[in-house]
Amino acid sequence: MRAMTSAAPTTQSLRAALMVPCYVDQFYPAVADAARRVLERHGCEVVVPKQQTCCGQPMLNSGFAKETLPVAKHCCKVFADFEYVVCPSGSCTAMVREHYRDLWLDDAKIPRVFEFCEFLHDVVGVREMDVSFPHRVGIHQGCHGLRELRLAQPSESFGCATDKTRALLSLVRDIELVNLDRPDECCGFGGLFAVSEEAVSVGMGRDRVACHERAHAEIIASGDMSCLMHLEGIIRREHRAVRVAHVAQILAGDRV
Amino acid sequence: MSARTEAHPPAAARFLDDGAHAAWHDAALWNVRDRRDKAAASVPDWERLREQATRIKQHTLAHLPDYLEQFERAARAAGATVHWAKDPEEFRVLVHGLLKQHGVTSVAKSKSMLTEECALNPYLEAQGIEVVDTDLGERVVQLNQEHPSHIVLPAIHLNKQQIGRIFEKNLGTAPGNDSAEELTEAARQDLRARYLHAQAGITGVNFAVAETGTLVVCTNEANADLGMTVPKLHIACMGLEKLVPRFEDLAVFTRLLARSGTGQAITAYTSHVTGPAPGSELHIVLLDNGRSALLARDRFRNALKCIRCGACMNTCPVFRRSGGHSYNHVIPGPIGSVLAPNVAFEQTETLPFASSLCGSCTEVCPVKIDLHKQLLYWREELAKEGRVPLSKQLGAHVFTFVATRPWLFKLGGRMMRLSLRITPRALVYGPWNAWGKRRELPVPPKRSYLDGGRP
Amino acid sequence: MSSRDTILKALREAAPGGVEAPAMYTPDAPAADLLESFEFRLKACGGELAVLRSVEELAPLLSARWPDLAERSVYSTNPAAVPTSLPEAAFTDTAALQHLDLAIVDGCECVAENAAVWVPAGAVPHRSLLYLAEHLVLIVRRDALLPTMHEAYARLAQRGDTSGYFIAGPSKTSDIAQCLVIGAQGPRSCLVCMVGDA
Repeated sequence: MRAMTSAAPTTQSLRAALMVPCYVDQFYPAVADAARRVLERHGCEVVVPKQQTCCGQPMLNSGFAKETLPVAKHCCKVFADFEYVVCPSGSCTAMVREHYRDLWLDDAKIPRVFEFCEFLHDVVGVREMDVSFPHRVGIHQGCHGLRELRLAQPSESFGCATDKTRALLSLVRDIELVNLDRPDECCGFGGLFAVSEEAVSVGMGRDRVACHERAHAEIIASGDMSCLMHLEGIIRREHRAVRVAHVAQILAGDRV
Repeated sequence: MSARTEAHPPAAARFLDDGAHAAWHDAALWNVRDRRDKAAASVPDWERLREQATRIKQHTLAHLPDYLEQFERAARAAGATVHWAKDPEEFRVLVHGLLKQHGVTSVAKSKSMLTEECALNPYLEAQGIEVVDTDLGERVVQLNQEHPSHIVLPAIHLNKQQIGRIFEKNLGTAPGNDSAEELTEAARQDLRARYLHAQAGITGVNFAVAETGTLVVCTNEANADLGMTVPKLHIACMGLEKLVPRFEDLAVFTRLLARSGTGQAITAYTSHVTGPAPGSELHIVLLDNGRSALLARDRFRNALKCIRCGACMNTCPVFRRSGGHSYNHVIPGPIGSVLAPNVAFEQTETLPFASSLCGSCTEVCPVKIDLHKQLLYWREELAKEGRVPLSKQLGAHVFTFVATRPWLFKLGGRMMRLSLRITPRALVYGPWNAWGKRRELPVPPKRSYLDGGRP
Repeated sequence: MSSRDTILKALREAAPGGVEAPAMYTPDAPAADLLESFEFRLKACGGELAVLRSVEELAPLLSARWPDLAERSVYSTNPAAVPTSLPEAAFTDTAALQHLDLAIVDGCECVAENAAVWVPAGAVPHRSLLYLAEHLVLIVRRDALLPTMHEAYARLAQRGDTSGYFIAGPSKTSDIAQCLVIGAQGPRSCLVCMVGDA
């Protein structure tokens, strides 16, 4: 299998495959690149398998379980040899980790995928970050990362899950993380829902943007570019001032 | 089966057309969700309590026929009469028969989603029996000749001014009077007179206890209590799934119900009826209507755990922005969307798709129904039966073909990005582009990441 | 086959069986003082609490609250403290009960977590008077105050008291545009008088 590999800068290197969500690959190469640079900066050897395509989530969410299976199997095959697979999307990670089992895939064959922030926080153990981001940032929690991966404690439930996205962003110098009056409401993307329920989807997206605006956020940051694609679509159409950025871009110190 | 009902997306879009009202609806229900969060937080063992509730229900459902027989025996021993109805038609005939036998011409009916499910009101009215819905919200929608839009807050789709006009027309309140206090007082005076006039009270049932034959009915207004204590005939209508095994199990559910539904620590009136009051009659009507079929479906059985608190509706971002009527089903919202296909597969095919699958419903559900997963499973059932649009079916096959061939996937991506770049905007954003109606598409880069694309 | 048998047969085929009943639930110990919690919850649901040393304090309390008490129609389960003003026949006549101003009724278990008071169905000559009365006064013993519903139901189950009502505050509704209105269809107020020592 051909792959793009890079040497890790530190000795205790973790070898991780970067799983690039298909829409990130097609529309946001800067996000995948930022994720890769952040992982490398924190001592990982990053491999990007070139045979990867899609996790199959859009199809499964449309009800096509049977048709999803070959796609899921392909994904399993591509990432089979890696101890760690890192994906800059809570949604795609949850698809592999939580939903592949529903497709009757053998547990042992399901790749060990970590969401990007989760991997940095839990596996790499990042507790310092040498970047600056002098902006007011609102965090948008992607629902699948939040509720299926427990990347934070959902506001309607009780427990003590650490907000991993916030924990990492807090390490960034000069950043100001704002508090939202609705901390984790869905943005209304929902895959094909965005199209089949266009009116509700746009209504939810507008409300989400407004929530960040009320908190005077300059940037809406998320671990899920799909949510941001939807929010950015609304922001650009309505010529709003707030911008969007994937968490990886902020952690990489990129200008957004 | 009745005529096809309207699909969810256009009905939702119409609700959102009145932006100010939709925003009010969203904020009002978010406020209830917020109160629920605070009420749940006041119980330190909340998550453990939910776990206990789901396990009690799991156990009860696993042994449902035994518990039903035990309930029947206990209720009879306490002096009640127990009836069984397979479907809405049998239910309507049965209830009408009881009323006719007792010479009833006027009924005070408290909230019962089951009687809505069976369309009892129009049937009884056609037989010349007056039915007065006594829950204030249900009374409002009854006077307005429509259906409840929410199982706990039946008139949440109406604002004060609208209700003021409905009362002006029907109860003779002053024009322009939209004071909640004064409208409630007018309803109080009107309804209290009607209890005395009614010869029977029909109520729903929140919980029923197998070991004692007890029925539990919860309200805030005391309307169910008035309905079942003032007239001498009480007909209690319940779905088969309302049972809990032991009297003490009620503690778990009464702690969860109101906190989840409205954020109250408990409903004002939590009434326990074991047999009829002296000099009165109690008839209990048990309804199946698809419940035994649902029990047989492994992946969907959990939906029978529902205690009808409405929490999934209040938290659902889609429900809050589309209103209960957009679901065109007696029970709207997430739980309605997983119950509906079981009874009306052909008419409710857009409901499992009326969700972004955010999963908040599953988190608030006091009996831990895996609602967002069930929505997904129903999508699978619909796809299996070919009940999704042909374009989607075709799309899925093409996507599978492409996504299992990396070279083709890469080529497809290139072509898609190229076409987005070179096609005139007017063509890209034509009426066929639902995404682009009120949103921009992302700007396609020349090269994808895997194709060597960099910032 | 009757509908009953058809339904039960379908359920027997569908019910998976097997799942054990969970053990009886033990709630977490409450953090707050029980009386404080009860009062807080009662106020939150629109009720009021009076803590009395003895039931003799009831009559003056009610007279202060309703100066025209003597002219009002009153039902009382505690005639020693406040007498009943209705003729015996009224208790089977709901039309007469409709004009009941005040019901003074003995309650049993009180629940600190939600201000609910258990009133057995047998505590009143006609169940409807609890709801037809314009105002409700519940007399309870201080030592009947329990932390949660679990303790309350355990006691009810033990003595087989399965007909009755948990009442928490007055009748209320928010059905008109989510505005809370006290006094929906039943009592407009609910005063809980807690008597005696803990």
